[in-house]
Amino acid sequence: MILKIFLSVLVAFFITFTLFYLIIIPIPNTDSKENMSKFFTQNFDDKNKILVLGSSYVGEMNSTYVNQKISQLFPDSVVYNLGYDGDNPNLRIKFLDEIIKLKPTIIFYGMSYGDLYIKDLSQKEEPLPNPKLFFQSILKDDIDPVPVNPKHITLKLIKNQFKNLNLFSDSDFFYLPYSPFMTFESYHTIIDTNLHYSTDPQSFDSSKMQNFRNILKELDKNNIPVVIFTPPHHKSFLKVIPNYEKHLFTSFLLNSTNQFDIDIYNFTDRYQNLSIWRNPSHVAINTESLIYSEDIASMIISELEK
Amino acid sequence: MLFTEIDFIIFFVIVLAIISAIKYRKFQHVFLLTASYFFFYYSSNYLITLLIASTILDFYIGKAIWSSTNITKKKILLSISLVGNLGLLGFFKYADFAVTQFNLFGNHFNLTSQIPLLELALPIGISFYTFQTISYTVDIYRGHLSPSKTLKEFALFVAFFPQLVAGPIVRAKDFLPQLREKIDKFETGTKIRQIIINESNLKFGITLMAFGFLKKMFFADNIGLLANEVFAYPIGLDSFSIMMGTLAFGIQIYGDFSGYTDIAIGAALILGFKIPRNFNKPYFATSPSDFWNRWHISLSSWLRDYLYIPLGGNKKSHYRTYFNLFAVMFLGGLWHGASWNFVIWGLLHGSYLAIHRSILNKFPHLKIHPFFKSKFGKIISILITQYFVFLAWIPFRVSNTDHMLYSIQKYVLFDFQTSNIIPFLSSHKLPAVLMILFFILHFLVYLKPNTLTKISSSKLSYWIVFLTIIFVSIVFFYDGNPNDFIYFRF
Repeated sequence: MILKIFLSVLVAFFITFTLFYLIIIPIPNTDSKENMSKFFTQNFDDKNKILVLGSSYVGEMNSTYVNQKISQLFPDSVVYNLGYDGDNPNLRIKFLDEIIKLKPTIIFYGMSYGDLYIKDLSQKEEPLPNPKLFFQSILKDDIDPVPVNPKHITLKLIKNQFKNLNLFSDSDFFYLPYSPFMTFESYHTIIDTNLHYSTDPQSFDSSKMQNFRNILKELDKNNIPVVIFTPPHHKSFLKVIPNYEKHLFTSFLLNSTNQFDIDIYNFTDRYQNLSIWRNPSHVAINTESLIYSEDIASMIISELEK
Repeated sequence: MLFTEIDFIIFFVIVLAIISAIKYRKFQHVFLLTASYFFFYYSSNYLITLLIASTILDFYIGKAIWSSTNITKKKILLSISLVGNLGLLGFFKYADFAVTQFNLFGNHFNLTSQIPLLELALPIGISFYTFQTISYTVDIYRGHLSPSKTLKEFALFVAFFPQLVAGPIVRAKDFLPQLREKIDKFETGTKIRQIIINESNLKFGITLMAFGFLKKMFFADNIGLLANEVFAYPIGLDSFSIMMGTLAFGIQIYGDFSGYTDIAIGAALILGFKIPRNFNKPYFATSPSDFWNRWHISLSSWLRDYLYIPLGGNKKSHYRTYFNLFAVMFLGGLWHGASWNFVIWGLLHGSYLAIHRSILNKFPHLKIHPFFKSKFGKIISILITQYFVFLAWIPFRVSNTDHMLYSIQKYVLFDFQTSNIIPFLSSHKLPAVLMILFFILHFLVYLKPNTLTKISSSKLSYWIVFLTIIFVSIVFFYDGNPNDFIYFRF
């Protein structure tokens, strides 16, 4: 009987995951590995590819607007914003080969404090060996930097089912054509004028710092020009970052880029007092907030004109 | 190791497989202890030394108290245990809070230098296991309990992995006898029980665990998003939004904590151990004291037995009783975390209990008044009680004083800004639907308290359907990131 009970649990698991693989996995999800693979394996036209890399700080720039600006002066160029939520050098390095294969004309890499933080407690250095890290390295999928979000897909399915009843508006999710790895929702467009931010003391992850240098080294080896820029933050965010952390970040960027003669554009505090933010570290996707995308476009233009 | 991570499922299956293969009780206990220490070490690393230190201290002090005949010596030994346990708890949990308060006090008097914060990592589960070990030595001191015969058994009582990090706070008198339970072995007399996975415990345990996962991962994690959104910056929001956020947080914390408890009780039951229940449909409580008989029962009964009664309980004057209630709830609030918002939460509950008791003292006939025995009277009592219980969740959730006061004001003084109700609900459809579903399920379980027993004793085919519905609900509404349990932070 005990065996039957265990088998019953396995049957329930089997049914659940069969449904999951039949229903959830085939649904396109712009965050998923499949879409990343699709992007990298598609047939690109002959235009010069300009890539922008980084996390959501970068991903939320308006790629449509940037492309409009660039195409006026450089009609043979196209800008792809390859930023995605939660990116960091440890994840980005896994896609480096695909990025190099695209043979980009130039890469603009946005790097901020949050991209280097130790996020997982298990990654903190402990005096005794950490079994969690060992098991995570076995259990986790090394290729997929962004886990599939079943909830996101389930809600999408439900919305599609009830489309005719007008229960859900279609505008809840939207995509920008040259930002293949970003999904936007209506809250991304709202400018919040009452911003407050607090955080616990953070520390930088040495492996992320090392991988950032490795990325620059590899791109240099492949003769791909790189420009680094520091994405902007609201004053409430910058106020709570300790000075020693700011110094450490700046000297890390300078040391990493000096070696390869890379230019750095500083956006960190450029808009700190403006009302363009949806939260203390993300600019809203809004016509009132286009200054960020305008400046990104200007940066690209000035580098292309060199 | 989070219960909701795949790591725990693998760990638990391996523990079950090995425990079934071991034939000797003593080895089973050694294995369970090793597994429990591994479970703790997995996420707490070197902080396991505190758990071991606390275990060794109380084991030997317990023995010494028991063997001593001198009352003064007993008192000194008990004091050492209390100072040791509360010292550990105080140092790791409250040192930085105390330093911050001291620095603020210094600022008030224009002191230029500040004491630097220690920035200590809070050892997971320390609030729970120190209370377990304290109750052990106090019970021995009171003569209610004989000490554990071996260090191994006592260590297993303290570190037993299902309840180690967030309770329920188990008493030694409930747990230790289970390690030495004897079974009749007809002709050869009695034999000490082995850990055997039996059919009914396994099926009920899995049912309970599945229900716990549902509460945590389907309800709490999805509904909690609404509370997070509302309380991230509540200033400027209308009363309806604040009330919805409060309601969402009340459901989130219940689903989160009682879900954890269900998983813990279910896992322990599969291993053949009975852990006392921690929740009994608290949102159907008809008075503040009834609420504390239903919410976090192991903590409230601990506070009653080791704090409220020693302070005099309700055996002294009315005013002394009110003071005792305030003092106990103040400390109960502080136990949750080193922050003033928890103190306010505790004091609010202290005032509810004191006011409720003073009303009953003044009008004793209310206790037996037919209105409060009627269905309608009960509904009114539940609604009034829950209004205040949910009001108290605001300071529990919101630590920023301005945000807290604003939210409380909007909750108490309803602003009747009805124009935002439809847009708010329309932009939060999923949490709103889940909240309704949660209340329906909660109500059904209230009406049919044996629902889980019935499900677990149903035919296997029906049981598979039940499990599949639960697994599908969890997997299809999982956002890819496991959320930790709120009570892990305490």
